[in-house]
Amino acid sequence: MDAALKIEELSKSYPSGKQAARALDRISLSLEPGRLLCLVGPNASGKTTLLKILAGLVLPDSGKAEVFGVSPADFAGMTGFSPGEERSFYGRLSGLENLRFFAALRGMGKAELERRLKSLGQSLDIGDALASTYQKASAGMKMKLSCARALLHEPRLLLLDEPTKSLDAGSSERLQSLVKREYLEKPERFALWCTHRLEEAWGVGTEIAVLREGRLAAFGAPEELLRLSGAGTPQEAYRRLTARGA
Amino acid sequence: MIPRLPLILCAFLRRDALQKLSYRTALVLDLAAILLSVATFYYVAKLIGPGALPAMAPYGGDYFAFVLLGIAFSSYQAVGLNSFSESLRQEQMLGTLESLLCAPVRLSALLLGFAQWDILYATLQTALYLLVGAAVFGVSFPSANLPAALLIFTLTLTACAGLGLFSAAFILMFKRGDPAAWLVASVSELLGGVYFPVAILPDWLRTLSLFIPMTHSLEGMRLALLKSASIREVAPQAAALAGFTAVFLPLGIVFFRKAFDKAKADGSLGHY
Repeated sequence: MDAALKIEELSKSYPSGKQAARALDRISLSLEPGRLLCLVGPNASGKTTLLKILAGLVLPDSGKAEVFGVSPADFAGMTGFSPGEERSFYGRLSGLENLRFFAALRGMGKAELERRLKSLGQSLDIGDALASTYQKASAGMKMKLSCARALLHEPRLLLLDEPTKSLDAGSSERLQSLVKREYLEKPERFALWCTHRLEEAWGVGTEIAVLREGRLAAFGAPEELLRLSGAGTPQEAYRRLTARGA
Repeated sequence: MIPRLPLILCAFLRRDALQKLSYRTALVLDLAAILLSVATFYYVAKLIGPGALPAMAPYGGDYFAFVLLGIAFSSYQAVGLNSFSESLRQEQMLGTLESLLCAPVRLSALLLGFAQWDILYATLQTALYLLVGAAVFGVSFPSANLPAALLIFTLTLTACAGLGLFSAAFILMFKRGDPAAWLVASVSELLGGVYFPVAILPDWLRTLSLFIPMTHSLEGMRLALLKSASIREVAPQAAALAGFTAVFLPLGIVFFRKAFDKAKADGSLGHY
């Protein structure tokens, strides 16, 4: 089976004064479709950079990233990206007006949008956020709208950057169920979920990639990482895998 | 699915209209300022009186009609110059630029989407200037040559859009500080002929004024609307604007593309 995600020796540095700050250092990994990869790692370990490269927003310095056999930029029409920031919508517009606008940029018709909104509205419980002005929505509602926008056009590649950081436990569970339902075992799809919540990563991911200082510290199925690190819990495994010199 | 250009433009238009209408007070004040501005220049024109300035003769001698067209149409240069850069900057500040760039929309379509509301709004303002001037203060353009005016209008936008792309490129690279727009905008009021004919400037300033699109734009527009000049008669102004377009539009596109690729490589597209 062709890889859904194929990353080879991917490196990225950002200009930082006279020096360059390394964000990713020769990352390589490959995954089949129908999988849900969770990215974990300390702050500034390169998670968001990897997501942005796959969203086509940042160019790597070297190496290669392919999504279903093509470059991320060529796959943009079939990618859904939820950035981990609240500020990615128009504050004066309602949630619905915002989603309508971004749906139109993806060529979605009215009927298609309504069908999808009905389904996502129920799964994510975003009824209130759709009706009210975006700037008045709570942080959690804003994050749900961001996830809804990423999922709206039923993308083949879903990229979620800390999607549950402002969500309550119930909303977080509903989002996890939704993503699993729409992506797990689906031959044409692939999802990448970036999080700091280890229980969540171990519960959602079919595979987990642990990043540390831009490098791939560990990669494998959740139970495999527990076994490899000799840990009994995700927290312990994470501590061991991200420890310097590990 | 890749959306068609009209659908993209409609989406931007709807978004911008909703945002503009959400600031109703600002909208009303904006439009009220037009009334006050027209009234001010009406009384300045009364002070001068018809036929008092020989330099006004090529435009029919009426200072009020002259300056009304100057202030009404100068906004198009501002639109061409600033629309791309201001929209980009606003999207960066709102945090929406990266979300827009995730959509399968060509960069050129995004830029058109950014600019079209400003063009429409400038047209509304221009229409209001002329309407107030005509309805309240009695100015008229009985023999206006509209095809010639339309030609000058279109070339004004394309000529200034090239400079506007330079301006947008500076925003992508340096975030703030845009020497292209600053330079053109600062000298245009003095040298562009908004408030007085460039014929009254000293020779060296008059020569300098030829390097500003607004000089040719306002000259052509005034000749078309006040002296019913035909397309053939505004050909020198149209040729100058076409020259600006031919030089600055391709250069602006290349410069903007390079700035965009550099920002993408630096990971700074959304930075402000």
